[in-house]
Amino acid sequence: MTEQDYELLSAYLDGELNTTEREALEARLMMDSALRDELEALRRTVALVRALPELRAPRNYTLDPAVYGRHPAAPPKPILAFPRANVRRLLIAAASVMLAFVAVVALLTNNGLQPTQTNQVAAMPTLTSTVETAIPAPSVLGTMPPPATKLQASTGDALDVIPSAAADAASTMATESLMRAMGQPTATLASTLAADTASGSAPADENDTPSDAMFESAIAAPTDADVTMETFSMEAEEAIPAPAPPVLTLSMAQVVVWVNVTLVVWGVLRMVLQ
Amino acid sequence: MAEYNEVALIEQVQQGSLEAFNALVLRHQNAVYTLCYRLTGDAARADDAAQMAFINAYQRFDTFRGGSFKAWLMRIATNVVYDTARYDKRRPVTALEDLVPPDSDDGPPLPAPGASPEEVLQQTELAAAIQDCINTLSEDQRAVLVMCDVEGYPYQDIADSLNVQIGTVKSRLSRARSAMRRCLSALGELLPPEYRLKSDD
Repeated sequence: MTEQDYELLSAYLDGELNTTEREALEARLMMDSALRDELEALRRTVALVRALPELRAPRNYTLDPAVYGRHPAAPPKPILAFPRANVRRLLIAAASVMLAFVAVVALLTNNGLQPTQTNQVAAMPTLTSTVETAIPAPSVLGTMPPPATKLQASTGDALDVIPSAAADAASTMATESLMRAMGQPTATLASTLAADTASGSAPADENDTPSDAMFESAIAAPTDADVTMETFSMEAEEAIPAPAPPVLTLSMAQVVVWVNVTLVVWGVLRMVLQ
Repeated sequence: MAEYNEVALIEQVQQGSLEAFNALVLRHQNAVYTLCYRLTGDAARADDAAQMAFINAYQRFDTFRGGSFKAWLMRIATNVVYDTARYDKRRPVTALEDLVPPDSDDGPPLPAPGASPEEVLQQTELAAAIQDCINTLSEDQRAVLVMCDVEGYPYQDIADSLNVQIGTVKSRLSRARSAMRRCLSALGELLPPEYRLKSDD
């Protein structure tokens, strides 16, 4: 007899075996007389324990009314009791409205900061692109006049310079890049303009020849590109803030803070008003 | 004597009637005391546990969700016995009664009235012998044996009461019965002929 056999016999006596276990054990009992004897001995043991008489309590366990007179299950009187339930409801509703108002004000205040941040981000790359456009030109051309002179000259000779192939290529590329940039998010404008400016100066370098005429046009090309870029930059500064849509954004931390505040206020109200 | 109506008494207790609760106490106190005695094997501890069980039942009457009131009461008594046992294990003390010589012992508690004096005598001796065997079991085995074979709880209820798996109940009960079988087989002539067991050896 194994311990598992005893367990099976014990559960069998209580009817706690499933059908499969019971049928398997009954099949074994049919063939194994020792198992049957053990089952009979177990049955007698259980019958003896079950036959134990009920004892008489040595005394009464009734509870003394002087000690237990008031039933503890009765709900305790609240510390702050409001006379009417609807007053409680009214106060809770008022508190909820106040909370909602505070939350909305906080949301609007938070949203009001968004356009200012966008303006700052949009203005930065415009300035950067203007500076970057002006600086590479002298390094390539070497003998080029200072930027102030260049700008003045280019303004006066603008009509003469425009027909040059280099200037055409530069201005076309700058226009395309600006058109692309207008369709892109504000944050990418700086990099787009900077990249296009650098590539815009490349054709001018390629067209650089020893001849004086070509030299002059080569000088004019980047200068004209500078003017074009500055003009577009100014347009971009004016154009970007205007179409910016009002975006309601809430960070996760803000959401968590507001949920917590709401729960705490609600809990305090319930505690006080119950 | 007024007719005993348990449902009506329970409703009255739920409305705050201590008198109704005391009527329930008088009805079930023998059963509660018997359970406590079977679990502890000691009259004084059983007496304390039974009183505490009724106090707890009254204080937690709002947790009674219908069904068998006796079963609910028995579960409370079982918990009181084991909470007390755990407490005693942490803080072992020697009671004054334990210092008194054994010949002054009052003997085991009497069975409830209703049997002839001979039957009472026989029952008392036999019951004391069986209780001695129960007392030799480990605390875990004793709890399962008493709850199943004395109180007649199903395995699932025992598992729920003791916070163990049903497989644990099965194995503990099997070992407890096996130990009881060995212990009772030594009683010999004390057992009625139809209950006599052959020794394992």
